[in-house]
Amino acid sequence: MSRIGWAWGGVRRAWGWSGFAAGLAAGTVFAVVGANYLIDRPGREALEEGTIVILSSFDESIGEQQLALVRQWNATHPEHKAEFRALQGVADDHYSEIVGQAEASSSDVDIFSLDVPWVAEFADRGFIREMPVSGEELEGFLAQPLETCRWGGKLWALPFYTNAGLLYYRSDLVGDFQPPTGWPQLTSDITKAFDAIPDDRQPAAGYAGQLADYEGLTVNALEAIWAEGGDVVDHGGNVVIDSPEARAGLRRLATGLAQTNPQVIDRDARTYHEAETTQTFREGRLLFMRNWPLALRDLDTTTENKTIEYDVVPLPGPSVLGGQNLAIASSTDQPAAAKALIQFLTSPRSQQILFERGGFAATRELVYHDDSVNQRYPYAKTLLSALRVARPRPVTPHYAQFSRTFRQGVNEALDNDGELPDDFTSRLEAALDGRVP
Amino acid sequence: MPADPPPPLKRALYLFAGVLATVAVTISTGTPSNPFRWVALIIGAVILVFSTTGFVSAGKPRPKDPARPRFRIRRTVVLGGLAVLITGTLVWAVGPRAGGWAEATDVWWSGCDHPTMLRVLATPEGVEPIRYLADEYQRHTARDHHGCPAVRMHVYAEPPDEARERLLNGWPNVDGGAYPRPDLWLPDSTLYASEALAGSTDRLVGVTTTVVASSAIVLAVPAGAAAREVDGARHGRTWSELIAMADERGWGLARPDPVASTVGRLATVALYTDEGHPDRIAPIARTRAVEQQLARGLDAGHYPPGTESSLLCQHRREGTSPTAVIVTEQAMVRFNQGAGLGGRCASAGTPLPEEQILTAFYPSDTFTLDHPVVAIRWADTSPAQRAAADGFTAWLKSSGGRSVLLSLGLRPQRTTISEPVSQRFGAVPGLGATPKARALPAEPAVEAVLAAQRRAVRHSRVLLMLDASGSMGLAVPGASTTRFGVAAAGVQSALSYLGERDEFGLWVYPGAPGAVRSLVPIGPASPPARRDAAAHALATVRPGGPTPLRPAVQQAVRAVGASDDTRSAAVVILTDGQDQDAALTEGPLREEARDRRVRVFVLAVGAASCARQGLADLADGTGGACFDAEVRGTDKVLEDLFRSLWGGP
Repeated sequence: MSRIGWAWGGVRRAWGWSGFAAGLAAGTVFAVVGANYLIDRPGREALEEGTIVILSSFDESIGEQQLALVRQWNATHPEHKAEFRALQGVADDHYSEIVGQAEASSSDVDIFSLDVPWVAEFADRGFIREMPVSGEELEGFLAQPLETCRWGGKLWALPFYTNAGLLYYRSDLVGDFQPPTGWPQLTSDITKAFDAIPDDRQPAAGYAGQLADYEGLTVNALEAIWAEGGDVVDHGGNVVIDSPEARAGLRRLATGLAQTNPQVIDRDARTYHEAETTQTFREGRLLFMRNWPLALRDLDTTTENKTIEYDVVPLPGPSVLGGQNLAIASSTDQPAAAKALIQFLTSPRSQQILFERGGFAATRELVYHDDSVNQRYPYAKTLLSALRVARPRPVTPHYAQFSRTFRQGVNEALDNDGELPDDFTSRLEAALDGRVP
Repeated sequence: MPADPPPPLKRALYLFAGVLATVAVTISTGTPSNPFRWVALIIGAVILVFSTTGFVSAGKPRPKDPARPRFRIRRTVVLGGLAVLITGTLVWAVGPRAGGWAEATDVWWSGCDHPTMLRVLATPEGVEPIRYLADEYQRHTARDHHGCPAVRMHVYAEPPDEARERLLNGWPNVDGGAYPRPDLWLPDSTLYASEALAGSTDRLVGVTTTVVASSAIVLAVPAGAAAREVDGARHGRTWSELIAMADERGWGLARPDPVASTVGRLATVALYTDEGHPDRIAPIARTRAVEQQLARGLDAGHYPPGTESSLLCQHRREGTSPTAVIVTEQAMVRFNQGAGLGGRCASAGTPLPEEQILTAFYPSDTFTLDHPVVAIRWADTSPAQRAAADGFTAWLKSSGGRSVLLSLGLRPQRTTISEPVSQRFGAVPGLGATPKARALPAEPAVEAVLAAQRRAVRHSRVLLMLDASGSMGLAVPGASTTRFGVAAAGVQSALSYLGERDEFGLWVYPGAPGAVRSLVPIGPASPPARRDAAAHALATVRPGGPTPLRPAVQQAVRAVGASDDTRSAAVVILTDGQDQDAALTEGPLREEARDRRVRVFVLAVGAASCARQGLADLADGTGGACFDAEVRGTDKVLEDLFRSLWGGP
């Protein structure tokens, strides 16, 4: 008898055990495949009945346009009403609560509104479903915000609103100003402006951004490094911060903060969030300010005597891409309805309303070419050009750990004349894996 | 020619050994959490089975001996048992280590598993040290898991009585939004934690309270004064004896506000009642004398009526001060170490020299903060979240956790007390891990004392200044009113917290003409007609014009009058910050307010911010405070400020 014959004979004799195992395995595979792909497939036409719950940060748009859109949906979809559940507090509060609810053993949340860096983590942890849309349905979105909805080669969300930093400047004090192409030019513009401004009208400093120890520092430090041509994490996911360009970017921040005459960067900027920067600029204490488009709302002084004149241009380098994306929760039992609501909220009409009435930057290009939008927001085209070159923060499922580690290193650099900590690369590499350095 | 296959019984035993090996590996190393680990487990189990069965059935199978069937069966059973024993021993010895190697390989290959999120609710007084505690625990879990933290802890703060109220109601939304729902609550004292929390709503299903450390409420006396004036005994006197001693020796005396601070609350109970008769409150003449002594100390040192952190922050700002402060031993130790005290009071960088530290006196009838850790189980708390919360509590009770608690100035249970709870930092370590503590008062007793305190405290004269410049006419997103409208609504709610002996005035700025316009002159707060007049006057204001902030503040400070034994004077300013008149600077303004002992409180709304040095310095330097408020939350901040400062009738 050959060995194969012997082995086959053994299998036949032991068929009871093997047959049982084979049947069990085949049945399991069939059940899993059938459940996932034949029965529970999002994107089917019929919308499931019931309330669709959206978990999001507080609606800060002018006139609460996000809520207004939800009301419009409810008026036309009485069987599938939406509930906008807002999160209070600061960004760290939002993150902890949205993750905490996603980790709970049961959740009634159907849609998560995620800050763009959170998409990778939520996808990696299985908190959200792949977004089942066709290529045709994606036409019309701006490429950069749409890219923040992808991770691991798959699409996980659709962009709800986007954001890019802008450079605000005092048009009444900075004459013949052209948008700076880099930090050296901006620094030169600051020095020239101070030379020309009479002493009694000189502001306290040339420039301020958000350098307090929170996500704003991550954003501003990334922009400083990119403006010099450096990078922190390349497209391959490798940490590349130890380069002459990146070092130059951090050194320029530190040099600007040092006490000089004129003061290039406001020394108090290391305590500033968005509101403090806006306030300082509004009081005439700055020539230039880096801030999001929403700062214009607090600079609107149409109801009283203006003391400053200002305008906006793109930053001297790429801006960080901000905004929020809408994703379907894995735990939802209304995937089709959730998808339909997301598509409604990101439709061209909804994006027009969000931008034109609410001031939230649209994720659809068409909106930026609308006459009424450009009339209401003269900076709209500037914002569009900033969005086209804006860059996402490093994409990693461990973004929270990465951002925290990055800020620690940046603070150490700012405390030491811009010098990179020796082990910064290894710390960031560990953080990209979620490890605590 | 291949050997005959082994008999069915033997095959069954080998299969059983393989199943046992798989189960044992799983138990010893944990259920695989990703495909990589499943593959490793299965391959490992298969290798174990084959190696064991190969050992057992090496060589040709023995021929059956029909004469000795019992021996054959016995040998089969023995060999099968041996297979199981060898397998089990290998798994027991190698399994956990193999699990560690597997985990390290897994981390190298695919990064860390995501940590479980823990939302940790602290008190405003305790949030700084608890953030440090949370960081240490995360580092501890990372050390045990190849650099991967098992938890991510978000620490935030709410006053403990408000937190308890929200927990009892199932943590409802506030102002239309959801704040983080806590998995752990650290309320400083079991005065607030109660088993009654569990089951109070169907959302909150379980509460486990664990006491991990304590800190006595002490009288922290400047070292120079203590060394010069008092004999060696720093414990044994009652609170009454200590404050009498303070009075005799000319020490100022400052206490945290009993509404805003747990320490202030318990200290007031201790000052007003006798340990032997906790329900008997001292007569009004006595309580008034105590409050006047405290008021003089607060005024002399320009201390804000706030938490122990704000008291000590002002103490640090003033430099050397002859005032004794009523704080916890922990807060005193951290102050002496130069630690950060929270808010704008960052770390001093270095410990205080010995001659400048505060030194603790331990009253025999004092209370102790027992620092409970309350693990909260909601109806949808997952097993992972529950395990994470339990893990943190267990760590706090371990030697590693107790070491960190000690480093924060607490006295952990079952721990030899040492640095920094030492003489160097003003403590008496020899009192043991848990100094004798007075039984915490019941809630009705606390309420009765607070009511007595409100009757005894000096009355307040408050001048409210609302910004009525053009920018205050801007609409508030999401509300059908303007910034000024929200502020006006806040004023109406806030005024209800003034007592019948208090006074208020209401101004707006700019005036027309002039820097200010009086809507309601300073006068008694209680008559309803005056509050109605305020509401009516606010409704007639049309925001417009510039913002002469500093001239307005100067006029208000001069108009409200100075503080004395019977009256505390305060100016409350609401501004959205755009000051067109920079002629006056904050320095002279602050000094004038300090000279008059007028406290200045600032609410910065809209684009205004306390981070601007001027506003914060003006407030902090006068014993007041600066608060940042979202435009839509202005009314709540005003209401909270008045409630905490003036308590209400």
